[in-house]
Amino acid sequence: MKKLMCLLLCLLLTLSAAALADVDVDAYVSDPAEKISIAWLAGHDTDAIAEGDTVVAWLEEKFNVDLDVWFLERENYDELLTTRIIGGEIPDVFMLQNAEQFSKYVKQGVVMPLPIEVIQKCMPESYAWLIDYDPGCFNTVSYSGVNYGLPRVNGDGRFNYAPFWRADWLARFGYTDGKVPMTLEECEDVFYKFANEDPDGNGEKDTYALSNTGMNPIFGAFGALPDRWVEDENGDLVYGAVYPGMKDALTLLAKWYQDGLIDPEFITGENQGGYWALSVPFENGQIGFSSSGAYYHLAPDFDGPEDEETGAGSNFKYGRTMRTFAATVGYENMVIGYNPVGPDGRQGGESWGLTTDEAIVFSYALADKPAKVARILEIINDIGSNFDTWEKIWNWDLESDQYDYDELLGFVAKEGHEKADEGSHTNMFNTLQNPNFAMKAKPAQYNWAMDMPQFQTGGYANTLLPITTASMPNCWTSMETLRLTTYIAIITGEQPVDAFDGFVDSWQAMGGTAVTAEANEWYHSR
Amino acid sequence: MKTVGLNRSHSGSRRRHFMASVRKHRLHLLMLVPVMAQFLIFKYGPLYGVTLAFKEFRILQGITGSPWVGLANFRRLFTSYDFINVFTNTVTIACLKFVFGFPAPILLALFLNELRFPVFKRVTQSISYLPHFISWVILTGIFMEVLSPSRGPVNALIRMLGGEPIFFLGSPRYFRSTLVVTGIWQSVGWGSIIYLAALGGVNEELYDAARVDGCGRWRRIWHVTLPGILPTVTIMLILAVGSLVDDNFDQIFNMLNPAVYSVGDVLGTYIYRQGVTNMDYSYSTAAELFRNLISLFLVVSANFVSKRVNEYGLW
Amino acid sequence: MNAHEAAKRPRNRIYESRGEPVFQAALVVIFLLLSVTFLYPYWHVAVTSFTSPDYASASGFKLWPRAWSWDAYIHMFNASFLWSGYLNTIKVVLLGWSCSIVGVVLGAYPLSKRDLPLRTLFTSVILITMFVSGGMIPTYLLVNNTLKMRNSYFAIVLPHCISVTHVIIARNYFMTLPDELEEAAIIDGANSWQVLLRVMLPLSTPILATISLWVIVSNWNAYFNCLLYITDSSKYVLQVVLRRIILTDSKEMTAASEAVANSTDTDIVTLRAASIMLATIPIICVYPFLQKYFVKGMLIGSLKG
Repeated sequence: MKKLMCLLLCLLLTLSAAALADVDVDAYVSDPAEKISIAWLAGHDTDAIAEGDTVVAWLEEKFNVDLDVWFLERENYDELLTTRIIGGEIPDVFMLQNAEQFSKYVKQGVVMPLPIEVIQKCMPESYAWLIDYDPGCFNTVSYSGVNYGLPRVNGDGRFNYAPFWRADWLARFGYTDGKVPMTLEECEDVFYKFANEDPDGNGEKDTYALSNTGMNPIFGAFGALPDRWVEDENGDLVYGAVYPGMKDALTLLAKWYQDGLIDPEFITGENQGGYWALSVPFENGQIGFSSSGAYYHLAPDFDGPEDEETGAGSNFKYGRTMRTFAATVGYENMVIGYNPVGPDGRQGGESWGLTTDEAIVFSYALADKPAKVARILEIINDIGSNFDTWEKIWNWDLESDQYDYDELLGFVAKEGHEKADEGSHTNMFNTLQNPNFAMKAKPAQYNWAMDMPQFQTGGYANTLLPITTASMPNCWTSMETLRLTTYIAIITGEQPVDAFDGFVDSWQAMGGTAVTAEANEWYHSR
Repeated sequence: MKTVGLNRSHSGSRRRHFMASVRKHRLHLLMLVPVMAQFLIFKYGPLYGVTLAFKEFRILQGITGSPWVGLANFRRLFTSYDFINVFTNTVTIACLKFVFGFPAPILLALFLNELRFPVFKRVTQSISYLPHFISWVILTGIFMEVLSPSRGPVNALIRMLGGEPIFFLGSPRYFRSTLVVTGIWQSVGWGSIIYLAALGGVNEELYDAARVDGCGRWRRIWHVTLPGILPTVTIMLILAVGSLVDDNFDQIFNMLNPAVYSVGDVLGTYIYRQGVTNMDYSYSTAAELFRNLISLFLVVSANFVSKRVNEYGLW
Repeated sequence: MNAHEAAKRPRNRIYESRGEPVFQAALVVIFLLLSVTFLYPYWHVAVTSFTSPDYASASGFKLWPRAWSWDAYIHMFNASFLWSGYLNTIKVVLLGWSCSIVGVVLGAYPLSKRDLPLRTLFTSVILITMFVSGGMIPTYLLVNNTLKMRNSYFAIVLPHCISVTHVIIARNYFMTLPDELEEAAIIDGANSWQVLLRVMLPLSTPILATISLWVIVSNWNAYFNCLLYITDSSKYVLQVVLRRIILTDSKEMTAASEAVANSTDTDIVTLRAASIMLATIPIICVYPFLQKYFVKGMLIGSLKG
């Protein structure tokens, strides 16, 4: 009898094991009455959660959970996370900052697979708008054909970088009333005038046309950016550094450098060691064309300056770049231009992808806890798709009725409303970063950008290859070093333009061929 | 027979000698106990982490559980395309920094010591180490401004004197010198503090005696001051030799740009860039171990030389 | 006569060259020029911290704020946890300083005795740790898991409180002090402790002051270890707190969040500058106080008399 029981038990276990081997989507359901504790790191934060934080308490009550929210600082994130994991603690759900971390943790089995079916079941609303916003968003979290987590999309990915000009200089050469050069030829023509025909009218030949950020739209006019992966005419991935069109771009840039159109100090960076989106030569009137900064850096002062009479403050002070230029160059002397169109009709500058390379993943320890996974997805879904919940998270304030909605400013606290002094942990809980909601929260900037075609001509996103391929760790750094040094040498004339061909050969030999093959393998198996 | 007896009494006496010495120094040895404990626990305890240099790091298995890969990490380091260039740069820049940078704080301390105005001297001393507290992120921005060929005062001066502007930070010819000079400038004040302390320890009466004997300033420095601070200088020298391979990462990282990679890219910055494509702690542990072994070798050699010349050394 | 009086005694009566005033004048000029260069970066940061955000990011020399603004400091001082940051850092500094000084002296003094048994062994044990180290992760496991020093300042201070460099420098300093001093004290009936405390330490004020300065500065700047070991945010040290204040200004840390940050009056550049001022001014003031210890405490000559 005992033997029979044993056998039956074994049979039962084998059967259930076999059942679990396939994804049992139905297991991913959580009983709302069951209190679950979650170690949460599904986003980034700048500070630990204070004791008795009201919003976290509200979330805990609403979803019947016990939240242990981790805080790992952004700059040393990987080290801190690795250390904690080795020390025996791992968060249940956590964020990974980039492709390298994602590849590493997935390969080492720290992260559990998260089948799409489960996502569709547990967070249907969020899945719907995610796919709607970016149909390929799950590429950033897939590895070898298996899905490992949730992507984080970026509302700003809709807008490419656009260059800007000195309007007063343009006016001298026939471009008035907001007109700007549109094609590469027109730009070249104006560039020569900027360098040679004294655009600032001071009688000295002390101006150039552009510096290093201005080179990006030029590269873009030939079909790629040197540090981005692009699709070639066969639909394959190819790295911008060895894209054939780059040779033409370099030819042009080398000629311009020779002819004094390019500020020689472009080498030390247009920001000259300061904030990344600033342009020192532009600010000093040394150049007239630049593409430093994203769209929001160039935002205008939406509600005008402070009222002299009433003292009512201005809520906006321009985007950071524009703020400095408004003070130094003068706002009326700025005009936002278009990425120039090249000989083949291509155009574009830098752009972020619609989806960032951050990933939200689940710890391996949750592989046998579907109820917990389901509950976590439920919370993420609610914050990501339920506007009322999201609003509380965004303002980090439970009293939504204490906020008015303003056309420009978004949510504005009512007069006399004092928010609890507990900081804000929005990013930690705004896991999916719903771009439609974000638009509502920052209407001024978004609406302005939506009305500017300059920001919508398309750019070269940096997320076509969101993983590190197998051979990359061994050779990528050297390949990038070679790219940087060769490009600069060609532009400054230290090496002839034909050195480009030798560079391509070296690059391929160092590992470029292997990496490209691996990249395409991933690209075509998505 | 007699010989055997003699031997036994020798080894016995050696042991007795040792025990007598221990008894004599018992309080000293007692003082060492907490110090040794601290080192054994906190430095030797975690030492097994070094083995990571010979392993392939697997997070879930921890350091002890990760598999051995022998010298694979080192092979990856040495066979990287840029290793030779990067290593050469590291050594060259380190030597330049040493040759010019080691004497600088000593000279500063000596000249400060000769100042006759105590208030001015104290104020200058306190100002001299201010740059030490400003990070290279900020200092780089300032130097880019100061050394700019178009906007900077240094080049304005050069132009006034009839020369051509020099792109200090952007040209391979001048980059290393710029690194060294700005690096020395930043650390000279802070580095002079130890020498000022040593100068404070030189016997006043020796100066008086020298003066009475008719020694002028320079002879006084040569015969009294320098010998007085020689022990400190020796130790600092050996330690400085040991940090030759610790390139000043912060400074170089901030000032580096691709136009000067060929002369300025060092081990630290190169490995940092590698970390971007592969956050691999076993690799960085291997690189660290490589650097430390070179340091050890340099220090032991310097120590050896120093003990031959004067009796001061680390060991 | 003590050292202070000796230093003040006029020394130029015995023998000085005629070129003395010229030399002094040259020194003054050189040091003035040098001081200006040393001072400028600090001045630059200070000016930035008082500049209104419109001009804070502008390039160029900063000799005076183009548009004055107290905003950065108001923002800093409004953060209630700024003061706890200062307090916690002071605690860490005091703890670290006491552990270090005691450790260094207890290590250096015995090792300075040339006939100490097993001296080479002890020295080697200490010196080797300068060149091999287990790294951050094993140390973390030791401190956090094995020793269970969680969330405590001991975790920040203890693992690295005795620096090999300091021990060696102090040891060599002790070695240069003449043996007669000790012998005289021993004849008078002092044991090793008393010799250390009453004879060696008072004579070693310059070296103790230097090591103290180094230790105080390094503990003041403690940052990463606090992130690693302290989980209670009320125990954060100053450097961590300052970063919180700066980064809390942006609601989210994606690039998009900067758009939100732009709509407030404070600006990350001025905040950073203000935080540098707040972090470094106290520590810069430590050295002038220690300067008086840089003269030897007791004249050797007095013993000979």
